Amino acid sequence: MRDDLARIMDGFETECGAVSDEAAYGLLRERYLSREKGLLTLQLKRLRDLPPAERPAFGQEVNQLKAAIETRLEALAQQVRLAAYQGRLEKERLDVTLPGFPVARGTLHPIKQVEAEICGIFERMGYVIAEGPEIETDFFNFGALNFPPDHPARDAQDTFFIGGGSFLLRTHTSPVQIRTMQTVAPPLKVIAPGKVYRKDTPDATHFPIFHQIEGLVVDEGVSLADLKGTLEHFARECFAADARIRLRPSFFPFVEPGAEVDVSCFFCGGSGCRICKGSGWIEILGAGMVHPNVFDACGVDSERYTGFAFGMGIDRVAILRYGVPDIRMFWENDVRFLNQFHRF
Amino acid sequence: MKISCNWMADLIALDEPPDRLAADLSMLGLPVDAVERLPNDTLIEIDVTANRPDCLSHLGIARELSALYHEPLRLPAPAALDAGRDAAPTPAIAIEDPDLCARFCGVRITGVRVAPSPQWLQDRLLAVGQRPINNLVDITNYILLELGHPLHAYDFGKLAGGCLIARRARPGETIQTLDGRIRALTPEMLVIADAGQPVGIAGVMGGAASEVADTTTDILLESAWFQPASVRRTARALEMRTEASYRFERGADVAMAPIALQRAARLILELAGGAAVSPVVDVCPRPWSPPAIALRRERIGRLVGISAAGLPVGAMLRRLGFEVEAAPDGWLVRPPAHRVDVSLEVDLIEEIARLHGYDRIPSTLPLHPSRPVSRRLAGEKAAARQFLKESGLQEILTPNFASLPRDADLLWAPDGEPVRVDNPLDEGEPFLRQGLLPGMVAALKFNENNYNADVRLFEVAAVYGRRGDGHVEPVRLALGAYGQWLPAHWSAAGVPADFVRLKGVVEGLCDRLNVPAAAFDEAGDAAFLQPGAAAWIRLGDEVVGYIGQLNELLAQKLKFKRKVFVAELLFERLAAGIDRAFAFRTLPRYPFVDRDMSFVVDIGISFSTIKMSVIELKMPELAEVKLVDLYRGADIPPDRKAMNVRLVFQHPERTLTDEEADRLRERAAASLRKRFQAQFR
Ligand SMILES: [Zn+2]
Repeated sequence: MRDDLARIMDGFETECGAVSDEAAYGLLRERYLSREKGLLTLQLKRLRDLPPAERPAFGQEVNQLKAAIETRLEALAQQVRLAAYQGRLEKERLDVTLPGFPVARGTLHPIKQVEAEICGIFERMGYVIAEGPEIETDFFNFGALNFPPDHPARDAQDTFFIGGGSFLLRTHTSPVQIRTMQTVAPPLKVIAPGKVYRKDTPDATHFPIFHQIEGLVVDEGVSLADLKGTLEHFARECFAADARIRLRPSFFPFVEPGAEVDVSCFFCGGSGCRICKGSGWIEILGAGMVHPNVFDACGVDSERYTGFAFGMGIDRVAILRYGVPDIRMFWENDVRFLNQFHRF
Repeated sequence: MKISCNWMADLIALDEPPDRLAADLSMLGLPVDAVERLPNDTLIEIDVTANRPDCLSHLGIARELSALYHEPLRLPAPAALDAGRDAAPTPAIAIEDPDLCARFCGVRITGVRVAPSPQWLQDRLLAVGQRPINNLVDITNYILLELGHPLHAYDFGKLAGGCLIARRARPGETIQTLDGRIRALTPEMLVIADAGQPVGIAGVMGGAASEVADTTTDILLESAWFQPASVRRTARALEMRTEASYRFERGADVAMAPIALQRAARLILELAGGAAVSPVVDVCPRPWSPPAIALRRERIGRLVGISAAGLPVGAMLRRLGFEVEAAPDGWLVRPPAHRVDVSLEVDLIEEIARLHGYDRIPSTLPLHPSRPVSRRLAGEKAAARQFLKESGLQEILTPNFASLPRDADLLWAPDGEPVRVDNPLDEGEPFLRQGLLPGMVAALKFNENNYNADVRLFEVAAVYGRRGDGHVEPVRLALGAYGQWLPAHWSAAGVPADFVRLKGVVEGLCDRLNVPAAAFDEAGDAAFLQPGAAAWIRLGDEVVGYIGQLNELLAQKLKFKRKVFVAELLFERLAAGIDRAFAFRTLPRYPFVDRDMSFVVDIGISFSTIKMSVIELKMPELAEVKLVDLYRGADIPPDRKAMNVRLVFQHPERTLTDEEADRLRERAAASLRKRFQAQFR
């Protein structure tokens, strides 16, 4: 009988060597350890046939054999599972160069992107955003901004009128200066983006609707030097880290002193190119110190407070920045055009 | 304004090359558009701002350069008219309305011979782009370009009564102007009249009747100052714009009137054979006196941000022709007559700053605070735009001008009356838009025409309406899509842009903005939407938007080849439904149990009806009602549909048993059987 046990062990070792997958492993385990017909179970059943004195020793030997087989089977199981896992890896190997499942890509309109970027620069400098209506009155668009009636300064802003001239489509975002100063006392530091309208026939560089952004700072001791420093910081954030600005005296009725503001050409760095027409400078903003007549119209004490204001065309910045050849493309909404602007 | 460097050399000695002049003029506030080199001259083209009429001449530019370079002007010699000739009779000149005409100078010259100008004069005019005509006209143009003052010559023989009067036009009067047109005049307009009728529109254009002809020998030369706003109103009313009106409406130099007249008269005597000249008549009922402006040294430093202590302020202003006297804390300054733009202290400070040089002003970035300014729905608008962008839509910008008849089919729920532009650019589009759908549809069509197969767009923008005496500018939000939302991929089929897809975006938006009450129901009555594929978006009883397929008949009319899906929301109304009081809810401690109900019902019974009828059973354990599957097919009658609805149950205080969950499901099923004859499977 001990020989039987030795044979069983030999046979088991041989069969183990032949097991290559989980199914064969299952059969092997069944063949040796099944509760009913397993080879070891059958050996235990033979205990009854032995004389009582021999039973404990034989039983112990069978159990030792069973423990050995179980240990061996555990190891075999791990071996088989590892082999199966490795087989699966090979089968499931991906071509990782296949295109991934796409996400529908949205875009914000390029002009709104530039608007948000400019607002962000000024918000980081502590400005708050203000808004105003697009259908305005003569008072807010012209009168309070020191455009006298019948003054040629109005010619530069060809106006759409509404209601027999009692209303108009605002020609600039400057009315927001007036509305803000009339409702909120200084100190004030606001930025006002929005749509403006001028009666220009559409062509590559004109569209009757465009976007401006207006800035206004009112406090005690605000100076032209502060305006210069502010716009210099803006130019460096918006155009180029080494951008310079240049103020030239100019005329806008609502500021005095007034200035046109050029930024050093961000294409050629100032050495002169096609974009800046060889000058090294690109005209970007109009600016100046708030005119005392404007303060008077808003009930702000112009002796105590001084302030500066500036304004720029958002569409113009977008055109220069991205090299868009025709302003009308911003209004056509061709998705091939919009798709190019997916930075924000 | 074109400036000839040769001509300028008559007025000021300059060593600077033209490019340097151009750069310096630009930094002085006289932007140079172009520098044009001619064989023996250089032209500098200057874009003079509306406040500087004094710079619309060679003298004006020379004055600026004189101040900048400390170089004295070489003014044309003051013109004592030749006394050696026989004096012509003094003409009669009068001003009836001194508000509109503050000064009127005139001189009569007889024995004039109209002929071509000498070559040097013709060359000067040609260089700056002025066509020579004859010696009289050329001389007045020459004076205009040199001194900036408009003059006018009348044929004395054609003036009734031999006199000139500056007066308002009488009702019903007309005049034929030099361009041959008959103009109707009104009493708001100032005219120059002879004893009978108007012979010129003051400051704008002369009349044909008294025009100098080739045969004219006896002329009356006019040099006056007219009130700027009046000239502008008149020129605009008559839709005329002349060299004269351009200058008078900006403000002519009242002191220049007699000087220009005498210089012109001298040139006529020299070049046009004048035989006798009258004494100069100078009618000046309102002699000009300069305003005295107090300028405080401290204010210069405070406004400009420079130290004014060392600035030679008085000398700088004197160089520009200002009279300056010292005052306790600064100066008392009187501007010259040609500086019509200077009347306040800040105007003087700009003069100091620009002469000092804007580029020499330092850059400072001090901290100034701001009071808060409130904005309506700014955060919500930004959140909505960002959500739509991240959801794969592209933001568009559409023009605000609209045509009522063209857009009528696509207009929904206008707020107020249409706003009409008095002077539209395009007579076909005189209105401001009242809805965003026309622009959205146009953008979709533009893309379809450009062979863009898959398009998903949105716009958040104002629309416009008139309400009573004022206007409203409510914000709307529009969505539009056609084609594939996601194109077919090697790993999955494509997802079409359809009603369900777009509805998911609107639901996601409501979720993002936290508008829990937003609900949808079938819109049977929206003519621009496809029947059966259209829904109103509601907040309670209020319709705040729509979503649906663009009506196919309408889409065909608009030449769409594809099915188009659109939505439009009243953004402020939707935002009114934002739940701003939401608070934390305790997390459920016990697991949920779900039970599915598979049944067949009539095709007309909506999911929302089924869902509401289950909710109305008010089972406290019911947490959610979900649609798991919807099926219509061959094994189901065509007027029926199969639904699989999942009920999710949860008890706040214990785990529900299977038996309890089964009983709850059975309650719901019984209700559906009874109310909708649902057949369970
Ligand atoms: Zn450049």
